[in-house]
Amino acid sequence: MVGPVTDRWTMLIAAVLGSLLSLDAVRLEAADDDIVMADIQEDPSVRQPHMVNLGTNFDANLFEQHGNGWVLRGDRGEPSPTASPAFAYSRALGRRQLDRIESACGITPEQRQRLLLAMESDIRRFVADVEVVREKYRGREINMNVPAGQKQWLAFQQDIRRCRDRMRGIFKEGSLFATVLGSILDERQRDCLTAEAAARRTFHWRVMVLEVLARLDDALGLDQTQHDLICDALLEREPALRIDSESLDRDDPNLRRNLVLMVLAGADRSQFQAGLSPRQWQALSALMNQGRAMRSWIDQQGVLDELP
Amino acid sequence: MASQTISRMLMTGALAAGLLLVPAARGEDDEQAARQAAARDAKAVGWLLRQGLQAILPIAEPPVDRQRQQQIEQRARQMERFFKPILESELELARRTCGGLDPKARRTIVASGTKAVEEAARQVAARQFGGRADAAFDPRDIIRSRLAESLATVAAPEELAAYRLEVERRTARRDESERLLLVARLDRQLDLTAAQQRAIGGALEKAWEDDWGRVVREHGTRRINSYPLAPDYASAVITPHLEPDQVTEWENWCRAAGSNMAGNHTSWHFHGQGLQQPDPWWGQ
Repeated sequence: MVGPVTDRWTMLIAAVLGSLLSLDAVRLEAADDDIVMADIQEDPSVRQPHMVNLGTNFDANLFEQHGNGWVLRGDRGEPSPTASPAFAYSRALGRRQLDRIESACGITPEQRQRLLLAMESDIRRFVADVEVVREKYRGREINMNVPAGQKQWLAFQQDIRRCRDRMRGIFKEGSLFATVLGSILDERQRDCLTAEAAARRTFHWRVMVLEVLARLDDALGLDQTQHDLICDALLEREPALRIDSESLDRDDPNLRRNLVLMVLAGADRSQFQAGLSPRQWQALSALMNQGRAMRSWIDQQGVLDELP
Repeated sequence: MASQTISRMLMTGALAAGLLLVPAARGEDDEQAARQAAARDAKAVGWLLRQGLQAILPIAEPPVDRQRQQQIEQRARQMERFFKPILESELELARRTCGGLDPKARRTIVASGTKAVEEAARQVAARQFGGRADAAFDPRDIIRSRLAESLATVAAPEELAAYRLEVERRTARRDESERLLLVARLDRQLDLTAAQQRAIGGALEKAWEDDWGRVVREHGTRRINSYPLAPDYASAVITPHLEPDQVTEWENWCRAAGSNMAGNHTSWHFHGQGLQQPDPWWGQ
C-alpha cells in the first residue's frame, strides 16, 4: 500500500515541479526574444529604410525583376556589388534562345558555333553599354525622404528603362545574331522555326482567349454553343503577339482581358447579337466597347508586333 | 459570481481530496497496477488543476460581439449587390435549358437563389471579419448549388438533364482554361517546346485536382522573390516531361516561390460587369 501512495505523491510533486520549470522555460524564451528584439533595433536596415543604395538597386531592377515591375531595397549596410551579372544574365538569355532554335529546327554544330560567336559579340556590346550606366550608380546612396533623393530615383528609373529596352533587343533585328541566323539556315530550318514561333503564338493566344471566356461564362451564363461562337471568332482573329520571353513575362490578367476584348470588338457583331439573348448581348457589347477603347493603351504595352 | 467561484473551488478541493484518499484497488500491490494507477491519477490531477484554475479565474460566458455581428450584417448587405450578377447569369443558363418552367416554379427558383445570394454574402462577410481563413471557399458554389437543388425539385427531367450537362461543360471549360494557364506559366519560366506543352497539358488533364485550379485562379499574379508562384503541387506530373537543365531551373523556382509560401486566405475576385438587371421572365 505504501508504494502506490508514495508514487502518487511523487507524480503530484513532479507535475507541480514540471509546471514551475515550464514557466521558467517560458521566461527564458521571453528573455531570448528580448535579445532578438534588441538586435533588430540595432540593425541598420531597420534604422535607415529611407537610405537607398542605387548600386544594389540597379542589379535588382535590371536583372532580377521580371516585366516592368520595380523593387526598392533599403540600405542594409551592404556594399555595392562589383561583379556585374550582365554577362551571366545575357548569356543565359542567349542560351535559352539558342536551345529553342535548336529544338525547333535542329541546327548543325557548325551553325551553332557561328550563332554562339555572333551571340557573344552582341552580349559584349550590350554589357559595355549597360556597364557605363551601372558604373554611374555604383556606391551612390540617396535619401528617399528628401526631394533631391526622390528626383535621383526617378532619373535612375529612366536609366533602368533604357537598359531594359536594350536588353530586350540584344538578339533582335539589327543584332549580329539575327543577321547570322537569317543567313545560315536552310529553307527547311527556316520553315521549322517559323512553324515553332507560330505554334507558340497560337498557344499563348488560346490561353488568353480561354481565360477570358471562363470569366464571360461566369458573367453572362453562356451555354456551350454560345461559348464556341465567341471562342471561334476570337481564335480566327489571332493577333500578332510578340512571343519573346520579355513580352510573355508580362503575366498580367488585366492586359490579357483588354487585349481579348479589343480583338473581339473587331469581329462581326451581328453573329453575336443573333447567338446571344438580348441581355447577354447588351452586356457583351458593353465589354466590346471597352476593349475598343483600350486600343491605344494596348499598343503602348508593346505586346503586339502590330495592331490588328 | 463570488459564491459561484467559492463553490467551484470547494468542489475542486473535495474532488482532489477524494481522488488522493481513494484506497488503492485490490491487486494494485504489484508494480504494473501501481504504475497504471499513478498514470490515471496524474491525468486526474491535470484535470483538477485545470478545474482549479477555472475556479480561481473569473469565467464569463463568451461575450457576444454585437459590434462584430453588426459589421458582418452591414458588410453582407453591401456584398449582396456583387453576388446578384452571379445569380442572374446562373438564371440565364437555367432559362436557356429549362424554358418550360411554369411561373410558380420560376418564383420558387428565384426565391431560393435570392436566399443563396444572402447566404453567400454573409459567409464572405463573416470571413472578412475575423472568421477562419478558408482558401477553398467560393461564394459562386453556394449560389449555383442552391439553384441546382431548387431546379431539381421543379424542372422536367429532360430540362434538368440539359441544365446539368451545360454546368458540366462549363466546369470542363474552366478546368481546361486553368490547365492551360498553368502550362503557359511553366512555358514563361522554363521555355517549353510545343511538344512539351502538349505532353504536360495532357498529363495535367489526367491528374487534375480541383484545388490546383483554385491556386491558379487565386494566385495568378502573385510574385515571391521575383518569381510567380511555382505550381509545385503538380511536380510529379510536370518533371517527367522536362529536360535536365529545365529540371534545375524548376527546382530553383520551387525553392524560391513554392506554393507553401502562398499562405491560406479567403479571397474572391469580382470580375466586373455581367448581367446586372433582373430578367422579367422569372417574375412572370
